[in-house]
Amino acid sequence: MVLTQTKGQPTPQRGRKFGVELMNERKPVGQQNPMEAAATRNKKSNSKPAKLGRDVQARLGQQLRAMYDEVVNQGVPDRFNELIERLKGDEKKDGH
Amino acid sequence: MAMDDSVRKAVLSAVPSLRAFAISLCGNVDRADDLVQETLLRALANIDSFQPGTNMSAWLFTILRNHFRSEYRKRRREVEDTDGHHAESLKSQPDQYGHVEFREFREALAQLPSDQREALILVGASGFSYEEAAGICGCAVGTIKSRVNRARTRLAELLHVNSAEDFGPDETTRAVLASGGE
Repeated sequence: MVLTQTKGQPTPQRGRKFGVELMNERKPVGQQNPMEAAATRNKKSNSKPAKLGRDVQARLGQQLRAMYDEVVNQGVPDRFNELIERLKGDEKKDGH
Repeated sequence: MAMDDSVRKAVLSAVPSLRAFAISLCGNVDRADDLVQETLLRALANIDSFQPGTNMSAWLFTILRNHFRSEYRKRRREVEDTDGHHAESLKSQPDQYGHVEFREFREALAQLPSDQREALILVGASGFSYEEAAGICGCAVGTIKSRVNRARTRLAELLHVNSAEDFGPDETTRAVLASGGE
């Protein structure tokens, strides 16, 4: 297949920044909740979608990321490096 | 034109996170790796549809997610209770995931509806913004937000973290929860 210009900067190393980005990402969620959460706390949990406290959310987030990062930290398995190398070789053969 | 080195690097650097996402989707490491491989092949075959300067990682996640969804739909016709099946497959292979400490969490995660689970993972673990996650899932930003919220609430219920003791000896958490009444 013909490859078009791909010289543009691909997003650099997103994987590396997970920790930092997550902190940023999670902020809006945390900030959006205090008031609602406080309101819900004072109300009494009558309806089911009770708002979670920020700390509960933070703990859930920690576990979620720990679980996810366990896989991320395994890096790139050989099969994928080999796959990319093989595709690179194929392209050369095709003369593209 | 040979595959640009920067493209190759960008693709490879997304692999670890793609795998983590794929595992969370299909609950099986081998299947997840196949899914990632199929995603890379598709991505590189369609590399001209990638817009330089945009987020390569988000683009790859979109391809993986769409591919999984179409496979998932296919399989759904064969296996009725797919979410239950997913939960079972998670339970039956805790070792593939490593630490047992995440087991309970994984099992709870597996019980979430798939759209909630993927939204939570994308925003809470993969590090995408709500906007990016919405782009990946092909839905509105508000939809992602509500899915994430529902996922968190459900997860807390499943893990019984609404009662402070179950969440471990964290004084702050305990205090927050205590002030929340029952």
